[in-house]
Amino acid sequence: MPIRSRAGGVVALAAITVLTGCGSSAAPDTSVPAATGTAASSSPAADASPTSSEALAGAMTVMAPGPLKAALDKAKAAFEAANPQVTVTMNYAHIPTLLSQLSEGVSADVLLTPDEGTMKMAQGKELTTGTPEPVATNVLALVVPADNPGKVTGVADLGKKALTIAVCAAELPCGKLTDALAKKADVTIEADSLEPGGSPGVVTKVATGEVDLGVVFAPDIKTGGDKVTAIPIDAAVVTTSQVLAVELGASTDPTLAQAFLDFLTTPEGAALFTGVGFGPL
Amino acid sequence: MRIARRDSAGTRATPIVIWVLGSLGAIFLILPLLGLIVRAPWGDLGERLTRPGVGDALRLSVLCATGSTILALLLGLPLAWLLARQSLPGKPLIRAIVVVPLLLPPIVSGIGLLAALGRRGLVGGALDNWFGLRLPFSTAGVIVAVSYVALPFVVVTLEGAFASVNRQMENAAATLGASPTVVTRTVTLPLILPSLVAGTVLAWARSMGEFGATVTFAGNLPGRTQTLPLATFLALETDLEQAILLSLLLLTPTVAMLVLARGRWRGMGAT
Amino acid sequence: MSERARRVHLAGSVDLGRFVLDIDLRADPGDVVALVGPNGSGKSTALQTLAGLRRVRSGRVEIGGVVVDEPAARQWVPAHRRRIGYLFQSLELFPHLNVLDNVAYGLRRQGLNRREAREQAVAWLQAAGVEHLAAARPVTLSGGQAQRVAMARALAVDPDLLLLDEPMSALDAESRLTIRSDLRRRLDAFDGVAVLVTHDLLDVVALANRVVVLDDGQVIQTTTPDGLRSHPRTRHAAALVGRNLVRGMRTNGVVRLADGVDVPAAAGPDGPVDVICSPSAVQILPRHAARPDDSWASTVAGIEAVGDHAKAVLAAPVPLSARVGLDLVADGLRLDSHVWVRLDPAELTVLTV
Repeated sequence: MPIRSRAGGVVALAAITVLTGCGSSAAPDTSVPAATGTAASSSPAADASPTSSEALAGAMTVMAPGPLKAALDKAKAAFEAANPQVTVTMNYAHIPTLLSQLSEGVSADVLLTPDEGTMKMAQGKELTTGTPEPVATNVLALVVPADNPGKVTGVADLGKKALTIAVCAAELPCGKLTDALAKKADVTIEADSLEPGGSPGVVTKVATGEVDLGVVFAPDIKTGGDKVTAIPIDAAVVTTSQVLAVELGASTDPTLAQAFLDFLTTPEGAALFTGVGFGPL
Repeated sequence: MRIARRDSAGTRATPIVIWVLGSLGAIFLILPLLGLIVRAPWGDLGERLTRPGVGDALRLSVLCATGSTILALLLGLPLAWLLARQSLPGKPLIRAIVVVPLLLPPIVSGIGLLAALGRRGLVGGALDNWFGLRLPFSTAGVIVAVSYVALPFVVVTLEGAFASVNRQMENAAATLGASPTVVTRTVTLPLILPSLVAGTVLAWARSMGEFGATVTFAGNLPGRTQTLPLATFLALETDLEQAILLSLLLLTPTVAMLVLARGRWRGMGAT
Repeated sequence: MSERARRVHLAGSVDLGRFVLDIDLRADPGDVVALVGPNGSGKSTALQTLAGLRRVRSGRVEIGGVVVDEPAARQWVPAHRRRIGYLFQSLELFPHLNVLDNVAYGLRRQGLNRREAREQAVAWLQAAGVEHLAAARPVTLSGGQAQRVAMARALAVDPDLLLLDEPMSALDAESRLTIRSDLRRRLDAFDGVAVLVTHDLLDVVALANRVVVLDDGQVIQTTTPDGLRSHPRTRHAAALVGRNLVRGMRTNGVVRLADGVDVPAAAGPDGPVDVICSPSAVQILPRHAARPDDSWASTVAGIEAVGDHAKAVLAAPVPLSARVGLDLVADGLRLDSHVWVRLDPAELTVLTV
């Protein structure tokens, strides 16, 4: 759970009142005017978060693919709560779209990718600075309609022609991971569709009942609600990728970017990912 | 307008503001296309176009666009006829429903098609049980999805055409011995030919570029359901230049068709 | 085909929502029947009913010895199976076909192959004097040329019944003359029945041998062109033949045309009557002159020059056309002039309604 302290909330309101328009040079402000009249008796110096010991301020943008939204929305809330003078804007889109935006000069501070391959694309375009850091693990899982019409039990069912099977397009991170799974489990996947919509696309198809079996990133299965059931893949063959985070060359505030990265790698940050279905590091 | 160019005869000519805004409109349409052309990897064109899957995707696109245009004509022509000439209850509602595929995000159209024609759909279940016909994830499914999106172009264009046909001319044909079917074939259809060409070409062009409904209803499998727009979208994942090239490959026959057809019906009107 | 077989008989009523056309029209081969009446009187409806473009609500239509429409007997022959030729007011030449194929169109429908149909079509174009236009598109034709082509197309199917809907209306005055005499020759050569809708007295006189006067869906008069000229029985028919027709009530040698308007009429039946007179029988005097005997007050509602004289239209209480000398106009007669009006008793024809 994000930690939103009462004290932090007050600091945020006070800071906006006093420091509108100021940059990160603003010194810690201890003279909090009781402008809002709420909880003014709490200590403004309360230290509720691992990253709030030094007062950070400013605005930053985090780019990430849609499937990371559930975890990152919570990370944004927690980070902003801990750093009341910071505003984090989230830009969720398809990785190639994000990279195009960066190439065209859109500014952002931090990028998260679902696997090493997409991170390499970003690095290849020289859009990043520093070393990408793993923040979570993407784990593949099988997904079937709630009533499991194909009577799927495990990875071996991926080779059944009679089943309607959808997996991620090979170009996508989850598709690459699925290919690796097929090799590792020594099964030829009889796919009827290589979904360009990736993992969420596969879940949607399974939820409509058109597909008997899909292979997806485990966190995405939640989006199918009660129309789908997850079937974990045997630990012996399951494949995973690392969700990576990196500071962007376009960052206008490396301090802020680094602070956000640091936050993601704290136990608190990691818990936000495992909480929505990602694997632990 | 106060400011206006006058032609040599002194009659009022096109106001300058129309020239300015109209030219801006044209530039606005041309620039992105120009951007694509400039960014395209012309250097290794040959190698890129012969990559595996490109030919298949182009072939499948042309096949599905043509098939869906035929299907859209087969269903859209009679529907346009009924809308133009038959008194039907709830005609305004039917007309609104006809353009729904233009209004819906195509992905939602695809979901709607799954809900209707998927194996758990309203009628799709019956198709599956009785005829063993499963449209999703098949080439036929691509044609169905694309024709749903293309149908409004046929119906809207042709309804206007049917409504504007001089009924007295059809009566003249009848008095000369033509049965209703023959009147349709020898008089009505030739009279609406320009609109028929327009509707057909628009439907075909729209079909060539269809992505959302296709990917949702029919999925993506090279050689079976992966049309050029799908291949383009996937190329974006790994190779922007390839994606641009595929888009231009998609545009070439479509624009050629539009230009040719335009010339054709212009010519017809003049004779 | 026998005389009897080519007879046409339309007797019935056609529901048009707005009004009902009740008609009994018989014609024998060689007859050219002119239908006259104001717009909306049912002339075109009668043609469409004969053509099979409308059905009778009750009654019966017989063309060439075949009952083509009789609801009571559930008999219905659609337009394309009737032996008719229809010359539409706007001609309706097919714009996508050239002249030759327009004329060949009906022949093709009769089962001729393309070559035979075109051969016969050429013959029809020759008869119409327009064979040099065979390859032309209809839009390139002049009004007179298009009219000849349309006529050739209608005749080419060898109809029992030829329907002509205001055949001259699309033409300028000059080509009307030549086309009318041309049409006269074509109709002389035609051995079926022709029914002609027209607003032009010259058409009636030059082309028809019988006249049916329609008004508001009713047949008012069935007569000959001469009968129409001498005894028109509707205001429209009277106007068509250049006469006035006023309804009145005759008692004791006087016809009351309106409240306070009594006109002496020595001859004629008593009771409701039609008073017919030519515009020259209507005399007009300026209001400042002394009021003549048997005259009434009126105003000028319209005035136009006709050759060496003028035609004045008089409004209430009795609508009339009057022929007036241009000198009267020069003296100040104009729109809204107040005048005395008098009818010359010797020029009146009084007929029972």
